[in-house]
Amino acid sequence: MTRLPAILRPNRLEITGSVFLAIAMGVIGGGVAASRVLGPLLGRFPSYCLGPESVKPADCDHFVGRINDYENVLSNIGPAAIAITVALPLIAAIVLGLALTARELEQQTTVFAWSLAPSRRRWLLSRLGPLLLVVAAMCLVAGALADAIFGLQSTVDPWRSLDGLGTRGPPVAGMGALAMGVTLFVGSLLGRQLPALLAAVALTASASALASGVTDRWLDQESLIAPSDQLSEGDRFVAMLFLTPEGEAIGWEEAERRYGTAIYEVDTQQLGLTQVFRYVPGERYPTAVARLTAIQLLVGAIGIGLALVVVQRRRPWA
Amino acid sequence: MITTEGLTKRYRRRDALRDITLQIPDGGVTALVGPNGAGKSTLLKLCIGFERPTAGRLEVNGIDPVRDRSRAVASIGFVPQTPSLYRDLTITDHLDLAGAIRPGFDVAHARSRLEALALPTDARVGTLSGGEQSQVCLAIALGTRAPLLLLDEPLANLDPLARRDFLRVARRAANDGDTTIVLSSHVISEIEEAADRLLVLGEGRVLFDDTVAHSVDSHRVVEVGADLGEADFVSRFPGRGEEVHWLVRRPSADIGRPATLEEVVLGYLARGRASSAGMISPSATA
Repeated sequence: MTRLPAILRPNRLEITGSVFLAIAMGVIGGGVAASRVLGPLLGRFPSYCLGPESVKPADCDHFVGRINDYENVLSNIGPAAIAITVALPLIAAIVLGLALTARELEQQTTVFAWSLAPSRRRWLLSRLGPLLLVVAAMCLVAGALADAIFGLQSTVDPWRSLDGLGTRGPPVAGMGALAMGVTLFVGSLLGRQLPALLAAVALTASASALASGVTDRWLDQESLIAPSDQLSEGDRFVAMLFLTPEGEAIGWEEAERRYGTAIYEVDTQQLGLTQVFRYVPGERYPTAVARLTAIQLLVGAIGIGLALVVVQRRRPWA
Repeated sequence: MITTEGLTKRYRRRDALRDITLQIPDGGVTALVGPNGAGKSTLLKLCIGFERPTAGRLEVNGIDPVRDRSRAVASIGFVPQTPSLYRDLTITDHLDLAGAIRPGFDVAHARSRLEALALPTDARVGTLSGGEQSQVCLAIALGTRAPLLLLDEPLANLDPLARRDFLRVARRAANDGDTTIVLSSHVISEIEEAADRLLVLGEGRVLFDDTVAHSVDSHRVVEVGADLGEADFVSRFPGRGEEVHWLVRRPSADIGRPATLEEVVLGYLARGRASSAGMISPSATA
């Protein structure tokens, strides 16, 4: 452990920057998440008036105006606060990832390090380990704050809602690991900071979109069919279908092929068709989160693995 | 000891080293001399595993740096041509970092070298002169206590005084212990006092390999067209002014005058160039 400060000293600028980002994240995300407490204090209405309509005492009616103002402000700043809270640790992941390989190679300090360190892998892992922990901790906190902010605007448990999947909770940590792994790999390959930064941002965005896409398709395959009135907040709508008298669920195109344009002109119930929704229940959220996070962590691990291979084989200059 | 056999390093369009076979024995200081692009740095980078050979065999202290780079690096202290230090860190930070990443690094030994040069160890490296940064690199290389030190053109960016200091420290390290130093340079005049052995590289080939003392003793400079007698003609090379000389080997004592080390090097570099052009004989070059 006594070696750690010496090993991390070349990255103290980025570490200090990450601490500032963490503070900013805490202030913004934490501040908005704490509005459940602060809102009633600042808006001068009782906090119990923020509960579900069914359990609000009658005296809350006196504060309707103030509560609406609070909820309007929250609905305006909530999404932005979530975006900023999640983005800050991801910025830290990319900055730290760049510092570990691209900056060292660009400034040729790898000549110093690799002429001393018998194992380049150990050299990289000894610095990556602690910084990855810092990023993971920041991302977990960011994910928890984003969950809390999301919870303020939702009447259902955030862990039973597929809304905002990937932008809150553990997938934020997965995205941090992904961003760091991808940046580390690109940085070790290119050995220059600016090209590595641009490539890392593009690749991180692409890989995140791919991971989300895979998770969404996976969820879609587990979708259920139910009458539209059975959908509740937190469920994910997939498609609107028609249920035929034979009990077959068909899409709009198939319905048009079978029944012609009548489906647009008359009430479909007259044709014996019942409108139903294909949807994924919000209860699937924990499973979806586990899958998405696992995919992100896998991509991040692949990035780190590739970076180790590149570092082992490449020259110590860009 | 460094041993190569048919060692070749080819970059895209250029051969940096061509089929080199040599042995650099343990102990003392070997000067690797040659013009820019001769392959000196490439040879040292191959030794420490920064480059991979295109063909041939290379062993450093009995270890193949391609197959077992970790062990090869662990047996080498390296000083690069351009000091590759962290500009924002202090000298002490560098010593601590070296101690953290290099098993067995002797921080006290490196620090004592720097203190002997009165370098402020709490100074940021970015504020030091090029010569001071080179001294920091040398002190860190010495702190590795490695049996082999590879110094890649460390004199190139130094002023004459700093060169003296640098060579003095390197020479003392070679005298003190079991350290072998291989020093690449194209500054011939100043390595004469520091080096025990001379290895001239030119156009990717070994042009000459001998001890410094024997190199000087066994060569003489004669005027163009002189009767060479028993002596072997080496090459025709330019003098300081307009004049041109011949360098000859194993001469009788009464011919010409003793060659300086610089003239030996120049003679063999000229021979390398003439050899590439197929012009090695007194008549061809007269």
